Amino acid sequence: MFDRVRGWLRRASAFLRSSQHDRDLADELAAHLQLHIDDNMRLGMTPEEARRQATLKLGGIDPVMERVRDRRGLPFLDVFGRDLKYAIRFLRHSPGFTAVAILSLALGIGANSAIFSLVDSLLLRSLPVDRPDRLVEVVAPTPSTVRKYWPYPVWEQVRDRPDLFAGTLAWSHHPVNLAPRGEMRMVDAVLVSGRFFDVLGIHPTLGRLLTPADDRAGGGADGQVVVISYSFWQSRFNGSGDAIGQTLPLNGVPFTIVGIMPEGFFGPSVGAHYSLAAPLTAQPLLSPSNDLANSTASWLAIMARLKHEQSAAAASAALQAAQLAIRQATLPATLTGYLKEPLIARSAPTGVDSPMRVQYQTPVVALLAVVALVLLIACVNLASLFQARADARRHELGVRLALGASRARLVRQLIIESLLLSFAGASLGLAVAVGGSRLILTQLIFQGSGIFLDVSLNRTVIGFTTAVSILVALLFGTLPAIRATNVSPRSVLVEPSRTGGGQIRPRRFGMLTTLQVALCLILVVGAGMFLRSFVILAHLDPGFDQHAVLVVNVTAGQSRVGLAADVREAVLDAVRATPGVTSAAWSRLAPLNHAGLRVLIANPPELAVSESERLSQWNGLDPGWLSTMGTRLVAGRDFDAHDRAGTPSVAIVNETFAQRFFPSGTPLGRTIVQVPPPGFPARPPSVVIGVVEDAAYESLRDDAKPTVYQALAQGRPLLSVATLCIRATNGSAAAVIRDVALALSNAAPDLQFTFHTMEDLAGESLAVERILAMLSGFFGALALLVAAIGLYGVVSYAVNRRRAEIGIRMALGAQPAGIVRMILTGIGPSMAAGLVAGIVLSVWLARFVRALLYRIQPGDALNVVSAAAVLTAVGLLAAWLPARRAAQLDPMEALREQ
Amino acid sequence: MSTAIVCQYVMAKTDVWQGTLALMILRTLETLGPLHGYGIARRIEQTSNSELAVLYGTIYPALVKLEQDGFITSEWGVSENNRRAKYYRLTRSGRKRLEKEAREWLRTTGIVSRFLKTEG
Repeated sequence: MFDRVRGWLRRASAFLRSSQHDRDLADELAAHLQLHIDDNMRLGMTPEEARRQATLKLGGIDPVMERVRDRRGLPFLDVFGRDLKYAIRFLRHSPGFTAVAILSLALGIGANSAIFSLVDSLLLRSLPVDRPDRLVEVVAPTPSTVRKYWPYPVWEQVRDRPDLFAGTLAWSHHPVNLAPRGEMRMVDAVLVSGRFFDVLGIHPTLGRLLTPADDRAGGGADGQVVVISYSFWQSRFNGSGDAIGQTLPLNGVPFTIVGIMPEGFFGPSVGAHYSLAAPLTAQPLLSPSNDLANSTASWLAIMARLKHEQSAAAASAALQAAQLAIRQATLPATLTGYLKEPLIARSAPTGVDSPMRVQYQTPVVALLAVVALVLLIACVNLASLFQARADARRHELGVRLALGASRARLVRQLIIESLLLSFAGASLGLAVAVGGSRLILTQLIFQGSGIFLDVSLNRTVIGFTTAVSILVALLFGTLPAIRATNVSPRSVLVEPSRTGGGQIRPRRFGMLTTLQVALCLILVVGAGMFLRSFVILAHLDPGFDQHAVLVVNVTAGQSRVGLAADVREAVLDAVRATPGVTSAAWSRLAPLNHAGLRVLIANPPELAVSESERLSQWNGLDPGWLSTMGTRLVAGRDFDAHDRAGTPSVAIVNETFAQRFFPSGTPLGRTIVQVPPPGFPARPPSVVIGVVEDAAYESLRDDAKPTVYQALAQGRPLLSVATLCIRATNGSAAAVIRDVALALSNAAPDLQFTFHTMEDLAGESLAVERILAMLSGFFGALALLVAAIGLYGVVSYAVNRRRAEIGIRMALGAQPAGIVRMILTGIGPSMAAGLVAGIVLSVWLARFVRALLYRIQPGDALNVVSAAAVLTAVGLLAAWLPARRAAQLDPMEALREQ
Repeated sequence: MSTAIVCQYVMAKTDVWQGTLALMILRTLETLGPLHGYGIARRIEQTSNSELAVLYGTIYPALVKLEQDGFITSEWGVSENNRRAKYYRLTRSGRKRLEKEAREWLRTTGIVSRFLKTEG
C-alpha cells in the first residue's frame, strides 16, 4: 500500500518535471546506442551499419521515449492534458464560435445567479434561527386584507396562555435616534418580548441576550438594557469586548448594552436589519405615547413556535378556542367589530412578510422569469451553434477516424471541448453575477432606507446554476458531437469536403429559430411594457415642482417640549434668512415621504358616497406651502395669517375632492365635516376656501385621490413631528443642506432632523419601476443581440452548405436579388411561426405582471406590434448579411471547389 | 512465428512479461553489480541463449518503473571503454523484492512443471 502511494507520488512529480526527465532519457538512449555501436564496430561493421543495427535492436528512439513517458507519468493526466491542449487550439481557431458560446453562457448564468440570489435572500432563505419550519405568525384574515399587527393587551393574552404553543414572541420595528442633538442618526431597532431570543433559539456572540426579567415596566435588575447586532458591534465598537456595559442613548434615554447578537441574525423580517434590540416594555421611553395599555394601537407582530407534532391548523384551532376570552379581556370601549376575524397561526419559516418583501416580491419574480428566458435563449443559441459545428466537423472527424483514432477518443475530445466552454462561460457568468446583484441592490436601495439584504452569492445559487448550465452545454454540445462521430470514415472521405457528408438538417435549425424568435419576442414585449410604464410615470406631472425642493423631517427629539407654534415660527424665520433659500413653509407631511394621513369625510347632504370613497388624504399646511411646492391654486385662495386658532375653520381641497363631494357648482364656501375616529371628539366643520390641482401624495403611481388640506395654525398647537419644505434659489436643493442645518441648530438646538431632496424622494418612489424598466430593457436588448447572432450563424451556415447550389443557380442566370430572396424566404416561415407563438405567449404572460404596469394594458396592440417589428427588423438584418454575401459569390469559384 | 514476436505480443497485452522482465533485471543487477541499460539488455539476451530476442528498448520502461518503486537507483557514470552511461544499482528493498519474487517464481514454475509432468 505504502509502496504504491510512494510510486504514485513519484509518478506525479515526474509528470510535473517531465521535460527534465525527457532530456535525461534522451541522453541515456544516446549513450546506449553509442555503447552498442562500439560493440558492433568491434565485430567489424562499418560505422553506418553499426548505427543502423543498434537503432533497429533498440526499437527506435522515439517509440522507446513514448513508452517510457507512458510508464513514467500519469497516463490519464497526460492524455487529458493533450486533449485539453487540442481543445484549446480548436477553440482558438474558431474565435467567433468560442466567443458566442462563452458569452451566451456567461450572460445566462450571470443574470440568473444575480437575480436568483435576490430571490433567494428575499423569499426563499429560511430565518437563521433554530427549526424555522416550526415557527408560525399569528394573523387574522379580514375581508379586504390580513391583519398582522396587534395591540399590546392582545399580546399579553397570547403570552399568558403557555398551553397554546411551545413558545411565543412579539416584536415591533422601532427606529431610534442615537445622536444627542442636531441631525439625527437613526438606526433600526426592534422592540422584542422577553422570550424572543429564547423561542427563536438565538445565542449571543458575547454577553447575554434579553430575558423575561428585562421585559418589565421600568426594566430588570440591569435597568434599561439593549443588545446590539454583530455588524453594529463591529462598526461602532470595532468588535471590542468593552462594548458590554457601555450605554447608548436611544432617543436620549441611556440604555446599557448587555450582549451581542450572533453574526448573520437580521431579525424575524426579511429585508430589515436591526442594529439594536430592546425590551417591549421600553416602548413608552422611546415614543411620545405609551401603547402598552392601548387596545387600539396595533403595533406588534406576534409569532409562535409550534409544540412537538402540533400542526399549524391545530394551533389555529386552539387560538380560536381562546379567542373569545382574548377579545373580552382586551376589548376597547369604542370598537364593536374588534377581533371578530378568526385568529390563525400561519407558517412562517422564512420570516414574516416585511414591507420590503411585499413591495419587491412581484418585480423580483418577474425579473427571474426574464432572466430564465435569457438563459433559454442562450441555450437555444448553443444548441444551434453546436449543431452547426457538429455537422461541419463530420468531415474532420471522419478523417481522424480513418487515420485510426478510436471513437471513444474523439467523443472524449468533444466532451472536453464542451466542458472547457461551459467552465469558461460559468466562471465569466459568476463574475457577471457578483457585479450584477450588487448593482441591482444599489439601484433598489436608497441611502437611509434601512433595507438590508445579504446577496453575497451563496453556494446553493452558484452550484445550482453552474450545474444546470454545464449540463445544458454538455447536452447541447456533446449529443450532436457523438452523433457526428457516428460516421463511416470511408463515406466521409469519398464525399467532397464542402458539403461535409451526412444530410443537412434544416428542420432542426428551423425549430430552433422559431423557438428563439418566440422567446425573444416575449422579452422584447415585456421590456416595452416596463419601459413605457416607467416613461409615463417619470413624465407624469406630480402636481408639484420637485426640482430644488428640500424636505426636512423635524422631530421634537428628547426635549419633549414638542414643536410648538413659536418654535416653528423661530425656525422658519432662521431658515428663510438662510442664503440660497427662496421660500420655506411647515407642513405636517411631505409628499412621497413614506407617510400618509387619512380622514373620513361625512356625506354631503345631497350625496350618498360609500365610506371607502369618502376616505380622504389629509395634510396640515402653513401659508405659502403650496407656492413653495409649486402646487397651483385652481380657485379661491391659500391659507393666510388670519386662519389661526379662534377663527372659523377653513380647508383647501384638491380637484378630485371637489368633483367627488361637490359634483355640481363651486366648492368654494361649501362646508366639509370630518367623521372622527371612534372615541375621539367631533371636529368643527370647515369651509372650503380654495381648490388646488391634484398632486401625488404617498406614491407617484397612485391615481389622484381626494385630498383635504387644513391650516396647521388651526390644528393641535404642539406637534412632535413636522416637515419643513424649502425651495432653493439656484436649483440645487442639496446645496443648501449645510446652511439650513446650521440655521436649524442655531434656532432650536434641541430639534432633530433629517434631509431629503424632493427629487430623491420622487426617484425612490419609482425605484421598482426604474429597475424593472432598466433590467428588462437591458435583457430585452441582450436577447435581441443573442438571437440575432444565433440567426446570423444559422443562415451563414446554411449559405455555406449551399454554396454549390447557389453557384449553379447563378451560373444558370439567377440574379443576386433573387438569391437573397431565396435565402430570406427559406428562414421566413420559421421566423413567422416564432413571431406568432411569441405574441400569443407574451399576451398570456403579461397578465401576471399587470400589477407592475402603469396605464398600459397587457396585450397592448402598439406594444406587441412594435416589438414584433423590431424583432423582424433585427432578424432580417441578421439573415440578410450572410444572404448578401452569398449573392456576391463568384459562381465559377464555388463550382470549382466541388 | 518467432519468439521475439511472441514476446512483443505478451509484453503489450499482459503484465506477466513486465513482471518477468523486472525479475530478470533485478537478478542481473544482483549478479553483476551496477550496470547500464545496454549491459542489462545484453546480459538478459545472452543468459537466455538468445532465445529471448528482445528489443533492447523494452527494458527502459521497466527500469523507470523499478526506479519509481524504489527497487533500483541510478546515477551517471563512465563505462569500461570510457563512454558516459547511466548505471543502475540494486537497493536494499530491491534485493528483498528479488528474493521474494524469485521464491514465488520458482514455486509457481515448480507447480506448473509438476503439473505438466503428471499430465504427460
